[in-house]
Amino acid sequence: MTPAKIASFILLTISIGACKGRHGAKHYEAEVILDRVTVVTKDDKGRPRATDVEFTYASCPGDEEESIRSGPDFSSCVMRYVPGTRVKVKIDRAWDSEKDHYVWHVVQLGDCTRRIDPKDDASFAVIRDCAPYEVSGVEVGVECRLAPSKELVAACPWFARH
Amino acid sequence: MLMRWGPVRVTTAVSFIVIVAIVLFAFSEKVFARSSHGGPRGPARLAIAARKAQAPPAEPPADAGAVAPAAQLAVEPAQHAADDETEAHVRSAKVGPDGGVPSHEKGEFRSPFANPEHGKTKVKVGFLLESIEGYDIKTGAFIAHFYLTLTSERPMPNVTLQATNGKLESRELLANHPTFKMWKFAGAFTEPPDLRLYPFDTQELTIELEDDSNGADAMELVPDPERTTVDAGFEIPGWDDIFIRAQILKHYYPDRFENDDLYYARYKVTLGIKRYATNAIFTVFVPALVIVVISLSGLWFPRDKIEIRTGSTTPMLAAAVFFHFALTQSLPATAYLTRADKLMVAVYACLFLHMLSSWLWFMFHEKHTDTIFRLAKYSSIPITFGVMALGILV
Repeated sequence: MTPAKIASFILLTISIGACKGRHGAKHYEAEVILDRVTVVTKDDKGRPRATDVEFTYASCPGDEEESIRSGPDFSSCVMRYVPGTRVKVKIDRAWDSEKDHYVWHVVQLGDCTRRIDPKDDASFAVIRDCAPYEVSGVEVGVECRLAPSKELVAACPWFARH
Repeated sequence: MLMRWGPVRVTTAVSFIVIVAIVLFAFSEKVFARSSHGGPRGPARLAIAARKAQAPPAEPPADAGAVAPAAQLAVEPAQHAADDETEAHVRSAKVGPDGGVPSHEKGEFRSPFANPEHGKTKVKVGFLLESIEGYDIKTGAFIAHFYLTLTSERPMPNVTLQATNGKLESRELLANHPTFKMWKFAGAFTEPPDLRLYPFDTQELTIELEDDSNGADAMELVPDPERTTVDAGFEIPGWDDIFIRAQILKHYYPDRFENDDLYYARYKVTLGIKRYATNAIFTVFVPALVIVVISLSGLWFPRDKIEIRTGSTTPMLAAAVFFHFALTQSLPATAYLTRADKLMVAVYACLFLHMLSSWLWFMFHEKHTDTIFRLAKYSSIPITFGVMALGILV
């Protein structure tokens, strides 16, 4: 095998690996603590049409707050859960070509299946890992990481953006 | 003489002159940047400051009286209250037997702006950054929209926040309770960029606010960790937000008058943003590497194909110069080399080595042609990669 063929083979392998690594979707399970369940929209009969569920991740280091919104089926199902309850969630992680990094979506909360709508602007997640900020050994403020830290990604890999 | 030299020697001579010109140009750019960046320094700066201090105050325009009432209406009531309160502090200070600056006898500070009667109030500061617009890496200017809250257990004095590294374009007082105040601000701020690691740079966008009506004796600001954050969905296109930092600086002014000993609490919020690495690689590193690889490929052509050999190197020099020029156009002049500059220095060095491998044929006897060809062909790859690695990693 000539050096040129070896180089071509290596390049091809790297390219295939890179493409596969970028777009492979993964599934995770985690436990969350519900902070708030709020009906956002009701129909004429008072049945929930859209509900926001706000929660934090029980086993992830740092402070991650997530608020998800979904439609009628999810709303009627999720009303059984009260704030403070620990609930299992299923998470899908996939490449988002618009954002140029991986994103995650909670697709199931307890027994309630959530339909992901790409037009949904109301759902959000805020990742914060705060520590005192010191100057000359004196605490003068606070610094919060807004991107997932290595420790967070190690414990909860769906937060990894790349 | 040029006719006698032939096309190859002319090409190599021109290439050499171009390289020398580039190096001189780059050097003069850096030297110029160093001398002009930040204006005059040292004694020159002091002299200008002194001249400014001695300059007579500008006379008010003839129609100033007509404009003043309208301008007064635009000032929010809290501003008036704060001004009145500050005047009250100054009035409560005592003037000595020789007149001059009044001072306080009670309390920690002598300054007439101290407020020994009020006592220190601990105030928690919450901050929510709503959006950043129009961040310009060349000037470091950006527009920020944010909410700021002040919360205390006991009534706080009237507060007038001013930006110290920019200008507040709008301020909307949403809540004005003695123990809770909330504003929505929009302002233009500036923070000089640090481009040493460009294109893998992290920039810090800073917003500094100071209450110039209360000293540190009346109000102690404390950042609220739970309420220092960015809005949901916050993003700056092309940048990844990596941290937000809130800190309190106890700011001390150099003496402006006698007994000017009061500290002022300055609230400083810093947003750290990192350029997307993928973008950096594809816009800076890939073009530079392509230029070098194409130039390198020319070394496989023997002496009888010297036109093709030099034709693959010399145009790459022009490409490198244009590419470097395009890169520097989007950045401010700096007194140091960025990582991109170092990469381009490596590119120029590689191109010079590639051209040198052709020039060697004309420096030595023809009997060495094959030796020089083989030496250049096999040594150029490790040397090129070594130089490029040096340019990328150093």
